[in-house]
Amino acid sequence: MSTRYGRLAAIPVAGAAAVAALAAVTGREHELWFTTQLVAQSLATAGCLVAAAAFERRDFMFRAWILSAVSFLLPVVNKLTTGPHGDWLLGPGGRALQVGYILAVNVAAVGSALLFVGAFFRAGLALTGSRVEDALDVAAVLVVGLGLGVPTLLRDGADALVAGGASQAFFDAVSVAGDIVCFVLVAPLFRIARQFRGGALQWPWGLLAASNLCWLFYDAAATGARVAHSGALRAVSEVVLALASLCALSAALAHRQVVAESRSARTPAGPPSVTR
Amino acid sequence: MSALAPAEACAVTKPSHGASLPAPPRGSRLRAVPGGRSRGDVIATALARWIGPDTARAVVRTFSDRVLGMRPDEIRPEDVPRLLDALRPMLRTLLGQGPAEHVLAELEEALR
Repeated sequence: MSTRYGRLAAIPVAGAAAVAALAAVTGREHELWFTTQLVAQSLATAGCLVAAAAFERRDFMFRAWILSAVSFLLPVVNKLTTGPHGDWLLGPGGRALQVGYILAVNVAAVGSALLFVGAFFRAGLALTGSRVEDALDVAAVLVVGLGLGVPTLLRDGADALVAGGASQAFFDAVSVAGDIVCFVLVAPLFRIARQFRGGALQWPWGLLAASNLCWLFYDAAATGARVAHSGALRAVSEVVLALASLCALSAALAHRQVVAESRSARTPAGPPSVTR
Repeated sequence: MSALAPAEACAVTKPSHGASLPAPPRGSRLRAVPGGRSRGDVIATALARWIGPDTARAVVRTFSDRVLGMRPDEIRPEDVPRLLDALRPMLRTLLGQGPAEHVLAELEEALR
């Protein structure tokens, strides 16, 4: 069983390696990043929808996967609308539409992460750990989330103010803010995955945590590339974006696999031997 | 990130049935025979496939205590439906309604 999930977990690594290889072979063109983003996020969208389809509409996880699909679908629609050289600027639409669009993407991403954390508690389970473990979690969030996210956010915010409105920097700033919130949820997602250790559900939650973690690194690399005009950093950011998107794809496929297996599960133990 | 807590420390919240039910009498007739497995073990083994062995044991222990007021190795055949009912919301949330019912039905069959 774990081999099957291990194969799913290899998808993001293989995808990111493919993007890196493409960048090395073909150069770092807008068209290449446009294509890799489109493919990775389209696959993530499809994966989330496939996972949602494994549940009934009234299921809690159906809503979580649908929201996750929306968070990947909206960027895909935006790319198809603007083409390789556009970014979060939707053609002739007004500023309110543009701002609303980027906010919707981030609200969907944050909402989805919240639902995956919430599912654990809704199931009647609770995170456990010693005070030392709790302190390590907080420290990890502060060091990585705030240490990486806040400087990126400040830089994007400052550039947005200079640009005066719906600039790329503004969209980056909104994106970073959303991803910082998502990263705060990475710690509980990883802890949930660890509590499921040895069970099939560790895979979807673990891969989702990895996906959310990758988005924060993507923000830092993308902003660094924009500020430093660095092609190498841009390439790194695109590899990380592929990794983040494909981790979500693998998480979705893993959860679908779990549901499929549970539909046909047999309890192997048989009647227990007890004296009466 | 934190290490997984030992099973003994794993907390479970919100059992779907009242926790104040009186504990049934405990007697030697309920215990597993040598080499046999208790009903709690059977349930934990089945759940471990999805939520991992440590959390599965903790869930069974906690729900047995709160819902039935007994240890997992003291679960009697007549207690099984109440315990499975208490596990239903957890399985429905994590696996969905259909698969959850299948897992519970399989467990009920295995424990009959």
